[in-house]
This record gives sequence, C-alpha cells and structure tokens, in this order.
Amino acid sequence: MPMVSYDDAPYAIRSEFAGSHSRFWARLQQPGAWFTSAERIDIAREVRAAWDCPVCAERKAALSPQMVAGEHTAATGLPSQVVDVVHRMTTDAARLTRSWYDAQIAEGLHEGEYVEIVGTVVAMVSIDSFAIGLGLPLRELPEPGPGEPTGYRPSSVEQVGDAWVPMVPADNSGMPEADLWVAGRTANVIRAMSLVPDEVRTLCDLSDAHYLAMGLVRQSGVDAGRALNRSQIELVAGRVSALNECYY
Amino acid sequence: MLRASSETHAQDVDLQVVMNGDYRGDIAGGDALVALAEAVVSTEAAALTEARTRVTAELGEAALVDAVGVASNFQRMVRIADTTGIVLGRFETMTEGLRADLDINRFAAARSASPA
Repeated sequence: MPMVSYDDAPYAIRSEFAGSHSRFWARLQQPGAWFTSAERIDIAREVRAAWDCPVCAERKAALSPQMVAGEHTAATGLPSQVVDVVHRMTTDAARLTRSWYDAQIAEGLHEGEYVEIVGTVVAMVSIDSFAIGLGLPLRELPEPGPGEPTGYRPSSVEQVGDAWVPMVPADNSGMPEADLWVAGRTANVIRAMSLVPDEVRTLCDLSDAHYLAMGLVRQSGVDAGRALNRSQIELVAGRVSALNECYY
Repeated sequence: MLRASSETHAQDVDLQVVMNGDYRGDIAGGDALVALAEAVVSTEAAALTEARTRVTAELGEAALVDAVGVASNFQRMVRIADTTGIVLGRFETMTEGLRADLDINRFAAARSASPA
C-alpha cells in the first residue's frame, strides 16, 4: 500500500490520519467504477491545479459564475468537460446548480462518472487542506496502477428528489451496500455518493480519522478521545461550514 | 451540533459565531479555534501561521492537529452537499428554528435544499 506519512511534521500527528490517507492513496492506485487509476490520479492533480487556475479565481470573484468564460489551466490531459467539473467543484462548489448538473449529464458525463469525480475531489480537498492547515507540503500522489473500471452500479438506486444524483435507498438491508450505513438510519450527505459505494466507504474512513465515526456524530456528548472536546470540535466544524456557505 | 454539544457540556456560546466569526462564550480556546477555522478556509499562509501558534499556545499541539483535522473534514462535507444537490433530511429539518435564527437559509443553495 502506498504510504502517506506525516513523520516530517513538527507535531505528533495521530496515526489515524496517515492511515486513512494511505488507504485513499491505495484506492487511487486501483481503477474505480468509472475511471482508471491514471484518470483518478489525474483528477486529483486537477484538484491541486484548480487552486492556482486564473479562470477559477476570476469566476469565484464574479457576481455570477456564468459571467466568466475561458479555458482552465489544466494540469492533465483529461477531457475539458471533466477538467471544468473538477475545477468548479473544487473552487466554487456553493454556486453549482441543478441545471448545471443536468447540463453535464446531457453533454455526455455519466452520472456514475460524476459521482466518482465528486468522491475524488472531496477526498483530495480534505487531505490537502489538512497538510496546508498544518503548514506541511502536499503529499506526493501515488503512481497509477493497472486495470479497467469495473462499471459497478448498485442493483437498487432511486432518484426521488432527495438529490440531483441517484442514491442507494436509505433502507439498504440485504444489499451489497448494507455496510454503508445502518438500514434506514442515515443522512442524505452520507447517501449522496452511494451510486459509487466505495466513495461512501472512503467518506466514512476519512471522517473517522478527521472528525468522528459516523455512528457517533449524532451523540452530542461524545468526544471520541480527541484532544478537543465536542463543543470545540463543533465550533470549528460550524465556522468552516458557514464560511463555505453550506446550507446543510 | 454546536448547540447540542455546548448544552451537553454546560457551556455557553453565542451560536452566531458560526456566521459572523465573533466568538462569545466559555469554550476553552474558542476564539483561537475560530481563527484557525477561518485560516484553513482562506489558506492564507500568514493567517495560518498565526492561528497555529495561538491554538498551540492555548490548547497544545494535539489540539492543533485535531482542529485542523476537523476543519479539513468540513472542507469536504460541504462540497459533498453542494455538488450532489442533496436536500435536508428529517434530522436536519428538526433544526429549522435555529437555521432561521442564524439566517443559514440565505445561502444560495438553500433554495434547492429545502424538501419539496
């Protein structure tokens, strides 16, 4: 497994961080459901490129993102549509709309591809934010591994107005996705990426290290043995969410 | 969750802090943690350096690492909501009064997040 290490940090860093980040790196070295390993790593590279992309900066500053046209400064040979989707998700996600999503699908992006891009973007944003926040260099991405995408799609998905994207039903009992959450007891933010189940598994793995195990989130008195108590944790969580204009 | 956890821990905090960054309460290191959260979102090097120094001085290195871990976690969670267009579920709609008090619904995406 490709190892992410934080041994260079001037602080002692809980091993859970390197562990969960290493497991995501290992996922990047494998084909996903819709993209090869090389493509997934290129998506990760585009996340990093987006932060320095002049078009993204101009668009972010504009009253409306539609006011700014132009080519992104791409770091890879990914199709221009994928590059645009990755850059927008990374730098201006709060202003994405249902009509924009529908246009991406109409222009040929498969809804499974879209969700797999979401999964890679959000994991990379989180892992890179961790390094930047601690004043550390970004961790080197892994080398791509072999293999073709599996094309896996859960046998049961629904699109009933809970999201733009299809999701596994909240009652996931008896499905191969039964491990993703306790049947009937979940939140849409957990279900959101379930069209590509491994993205939910990564979400839970990263959340366990960075925040809390999913099963503990609604237990307001639980600190999970962190150096911060729960109120301190939620103070940080709330302020970051509001700064990102998160309605959820 | 901030409201629930502060009540559980019998701590006072003005919840408006999440919207305006103006910390008032008795959560240890609260002001420093808010500054760190803001610095992580901004990615500005000077602000990050200052915030790290302050959190370390007030709460220690382990708290700094955990605080950055939480901040980077929510850099992810907000993007999941924004990019998939999920609506509020049963649990989240239970906070409707608080959401109105804090004016969270003003965020542009709130319109499409309300249950049909």
